[in-house]
Amino acid sequence: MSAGFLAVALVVLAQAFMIPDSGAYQAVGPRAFPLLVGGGMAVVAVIGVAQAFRSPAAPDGEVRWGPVLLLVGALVLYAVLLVPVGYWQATTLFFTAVARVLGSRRLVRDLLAGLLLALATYFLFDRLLGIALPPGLVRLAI
Amino acid sequence: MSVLANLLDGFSHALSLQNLLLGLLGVTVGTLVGVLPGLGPATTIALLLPLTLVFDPIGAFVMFAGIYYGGMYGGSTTAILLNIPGETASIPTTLEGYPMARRGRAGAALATAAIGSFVAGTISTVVITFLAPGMSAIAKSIQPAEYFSIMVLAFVTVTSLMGDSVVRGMSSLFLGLAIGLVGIDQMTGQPRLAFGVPELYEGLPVVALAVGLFAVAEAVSTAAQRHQGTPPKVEVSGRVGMSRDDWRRSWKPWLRGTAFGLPIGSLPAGGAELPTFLSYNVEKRLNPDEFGKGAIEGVAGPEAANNAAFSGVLVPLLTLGIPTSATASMLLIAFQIYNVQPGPQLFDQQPTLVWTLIASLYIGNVMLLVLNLPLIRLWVKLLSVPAALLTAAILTFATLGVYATGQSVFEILVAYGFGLVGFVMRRARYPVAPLILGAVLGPLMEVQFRRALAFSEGDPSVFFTRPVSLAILVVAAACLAGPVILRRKGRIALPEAID
Repeated sequence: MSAGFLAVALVVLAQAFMIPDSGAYQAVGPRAFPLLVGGGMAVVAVIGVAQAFRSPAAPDGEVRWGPVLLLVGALVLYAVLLVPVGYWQATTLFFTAVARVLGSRRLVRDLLAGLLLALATYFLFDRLLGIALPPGLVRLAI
Repeated sequence: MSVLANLLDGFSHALSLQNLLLGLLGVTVGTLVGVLPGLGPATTIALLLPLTLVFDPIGAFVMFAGIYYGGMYGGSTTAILLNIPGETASIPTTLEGYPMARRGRAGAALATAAIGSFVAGTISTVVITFLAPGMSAIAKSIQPAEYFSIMVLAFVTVTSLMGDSVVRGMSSLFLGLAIGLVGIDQMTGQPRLAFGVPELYEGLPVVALAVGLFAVAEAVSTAAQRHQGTPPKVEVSGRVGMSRDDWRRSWKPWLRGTAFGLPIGSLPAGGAELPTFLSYNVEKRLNPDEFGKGAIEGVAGPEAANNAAFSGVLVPLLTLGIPTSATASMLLIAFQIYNVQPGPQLFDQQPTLVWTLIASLYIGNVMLLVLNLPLIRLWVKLLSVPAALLTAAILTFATLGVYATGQSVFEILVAYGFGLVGFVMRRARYPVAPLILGAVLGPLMEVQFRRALAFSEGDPSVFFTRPVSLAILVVAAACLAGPVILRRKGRIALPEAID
């Protein structure tokens, strides 16, 4: 984990050095603060790595990666399909899929609940609040 | 105008029918979302932010005040009935509230939490009404170098006073600061950390960031630990209210909790965690016998402290523009959406907005009391909805919220990405509150940093040679080193951070 932070810190530092500092009319350009942030982060991350070596963190309960991966898949599909398929259609499917991934086995109930939530939020935002949501292929008459 | 005239003017706006309805709506949906397990006030605000988009700023902030209080009270409800604190500051409530509920005293626990929050919230609001304008006047005289040092102090205290590791907290903070750097530099137009991606030129969308770190991460965690068993839910049996004895035992802890929460919350260094834990420890010391078995003092004190601190946090937020908790960061994000920059000028530039907001705090407090106490059974019913459906609904609302604020699929993906980041961090016990604080406050900090250096013509010693700035930095260093040393000696146990 600390190694991950160290990697981010190095990216920040590398990027910071690439920022051209045209300090002609300013005392401090756009580079100083990123250098400070990257440097501070690197220091903290190095301490973190050192601590991890001295006393490795105990594993913290078991992660069920299966559902997590399925959930990530559902999220990505939802984001990609939202505009072409339409808000309420994609949301109904997404809701049902997530409920199933999380262990619900009552498909019809989940579909109905998803449809209800999708239509309710669609009308609330798109029609009542005036925040346009993707209509998709089938436009609702009302 | 005097404070009272300003306040009356604020009330005249807040009490319009539309704004009253918005306040009512805010309290209702705030409680509704806040009562869901694992969703603290910050998450609640993140999820409900888009609802306010269509209203004028005043209406939106009246609604926010409602969401704020509703979300907090919803959080105490889950702490008491489910033993699930929605945020670090609710942990003490679980320690006594859940045992109380198991002994069939859920009604009294919920009542002392609600009435205590009302008492503390009202006292605190009265105090900040008179304190904030004065603070604002002082804040105007603060020079950039001191401003920068105060922000350092805020970062350090928020990071080091919670969580069991300063290194983890600081890592989270720096990641947030790095995230805040992404985008085009305001002063020179230079893109930074954007990797040539045009969508990143305007910076990472903070709403997506917050929704991801709070709401999406919560959902992913639920998926990761399915069937690991939640503590049995306790029903609310009997009436929701307090006996004469409960009143007698509650009023002093309420006042003591307020006395902890308000001053600590009002400092640009506080947050809500420290006062709630202090209040819990003091009440425990005063009544050592019943603690652990469900002592009402252990709910009354921390809940009052929590609410007082939450009101107090508005002082640094409104007068300095410095948020000192995750929830306050969310409020700052809301201000920024409306192009309002809290800070020393706010009271001069937006008097109507500020005073309406303060007036709606009073109203929000009252609404919370009259609405939630009778309706709490209704909210609790929500907990019988299967967890799978609740999580699916949270993800739906999270996505909708992000899309509604940005109308962009890219921002949805950013939110999901940070959902995973938040999940991984939480697994590794990294607090995410410093991250959001760094991302929101970092850009403002850089402005002060560069102004200070511009005045000193690039001489970085300016932060150490100006006496006030130096003093603040010394305090910050002490706050950073203090907990490390005390922990090493094993003297105190600091709150484990959760989000």
